[in-house]
Amino acid sequence: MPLPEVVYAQASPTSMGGTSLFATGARIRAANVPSFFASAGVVRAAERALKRAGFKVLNVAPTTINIAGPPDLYESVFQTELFTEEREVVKLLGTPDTATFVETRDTDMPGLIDTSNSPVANVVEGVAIERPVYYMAPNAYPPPKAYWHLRVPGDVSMGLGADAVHRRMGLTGKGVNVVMVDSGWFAHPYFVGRGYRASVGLGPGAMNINLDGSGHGTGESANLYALAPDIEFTMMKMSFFNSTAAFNAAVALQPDIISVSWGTDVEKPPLGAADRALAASVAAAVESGIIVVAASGNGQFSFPGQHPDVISAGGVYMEEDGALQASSYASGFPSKIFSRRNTPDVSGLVGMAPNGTYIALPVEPSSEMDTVFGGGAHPAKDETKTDDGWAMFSGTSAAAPQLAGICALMKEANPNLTPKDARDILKRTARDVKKGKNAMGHRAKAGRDVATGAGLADAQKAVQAAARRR
Amino acid sequence: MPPPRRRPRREADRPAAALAILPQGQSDDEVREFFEQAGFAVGPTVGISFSIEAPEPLMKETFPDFDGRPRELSLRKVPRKVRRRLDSVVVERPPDFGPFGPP
Repeated sequence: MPLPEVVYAQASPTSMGGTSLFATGARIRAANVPSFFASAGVVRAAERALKRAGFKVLNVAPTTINIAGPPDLYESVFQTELFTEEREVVKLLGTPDTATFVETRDTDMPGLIDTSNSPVANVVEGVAIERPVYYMAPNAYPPPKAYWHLRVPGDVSMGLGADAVHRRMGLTGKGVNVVMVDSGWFAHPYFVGRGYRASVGLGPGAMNINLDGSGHGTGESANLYALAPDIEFTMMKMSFFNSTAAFNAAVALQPDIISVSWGTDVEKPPLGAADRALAASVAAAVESGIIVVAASGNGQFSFPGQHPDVISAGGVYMEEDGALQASSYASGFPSKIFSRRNTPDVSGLVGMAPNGTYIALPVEPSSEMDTVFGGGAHPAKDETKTDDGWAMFSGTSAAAPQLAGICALMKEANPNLTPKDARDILKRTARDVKKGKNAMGHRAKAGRDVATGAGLADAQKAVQAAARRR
Repeated sequence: MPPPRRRPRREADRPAAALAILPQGQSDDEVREFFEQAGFAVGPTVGISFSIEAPEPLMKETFPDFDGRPRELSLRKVPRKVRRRLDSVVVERPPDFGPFGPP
């Protein structure tokens, strides 16, 4: 097997206790772990040195610094040689198999790079190569179901008018950086098979870079790829107790677009402290030129979905014959926090109440989405197994990355596009929806309304309009 | 809303983290320096906030009421001159929709 394009590793800043994290014979437990912490000064120095050497620093913690870079960078900085090795492992569902590990012959410890001959030797005591995980248990194809639903990428792309952009205009999101702040990203065979590129960063407090125990982020990212398959995608995995910090970490990457498929339920003022901080972060991001797309909620008065600077994503249901109506699962409302702010601005494809079971999305097997939606009859459940790595869900959580994907296409067509341009164009070019009621009982009618905003986004018209603004 | 929960796959425990919020228009230098020198990993300042992350003993030493649950943390152990430049430190509540929070 060839080496991967990017190798992830944990660099250990020199431990305060004098014994390296990798050299100790002791078991590391809560009682003795402080002696393996590095001082704040050493951590900062190590982070600077690693960045200077060319590594991307994904996360900094007192015991390890998560880094990423191409294999040849490791080889030149650490005077080492990397190679791959197939080893026997037990994969999901107890299946014996082999997996590919990135290895070095530097030390007797598997996966440990010796840093003593490198420019970071005085502040980094060792570098542990992450073990790549190749779960092959889930099928790359979704299970067939008799009820009407959408499949990624084709149905979602076609429903939003992106196929024509891909084929006739040759735009697929190339060179556009999109960050999704969500529950994590699992390298599902669906993504691997389609050759989508992804990197994962850990937001403050988040762990387990290869896992997505929720399944939400993994699934929703498939909506983004359906619209813009060649984007430079980063999942910023968040701690559920530190969502603003994860958003801040996403902003620090200075991407073109940030997609947010979550929020808090805030009907009336005042905003709490954390929401005020998030409001300031959103405003700062947009002011710096980042397009922020946020879900308007699934029956909630969502924040940041009602922030005036975001593109607020609502929901439209497309029937089997292509007819459109407002999604009875999606939020849309006049904000009581921000005057003259109606959400959503524009809508993506979203299922109907009770649970929005609509789009077949890949998830980590046995994750929360797999378990919650599987194992029962449609429409309350999705009739898939609870451990098959597929779940049918949507909500405005799906609409946000769909719109973010269209923004990526627009940005490729016109790199000078501002956040305001993107929102104006999406609203001006959307397909009006005149039927149905949203989750809050607001009726769709001719023209703009709070049921669906300007209606269903139209990628082709939006991208053409963006290109004309160059 | 999603259907009622069943027993999902869980991930391992997270490190201790919180969000430091500054008063509007306040410089972050002194506050960041305090946390950095105390041994916290400090995230980028965006808008009026930045993350702080530390092993749990250090987090509890600085914020005795920290227990990992959503709340505004008491600043009584933070030096007065830093406290004056800090609006609040919070452990956020999980989002109400989107990725599910802990059980």
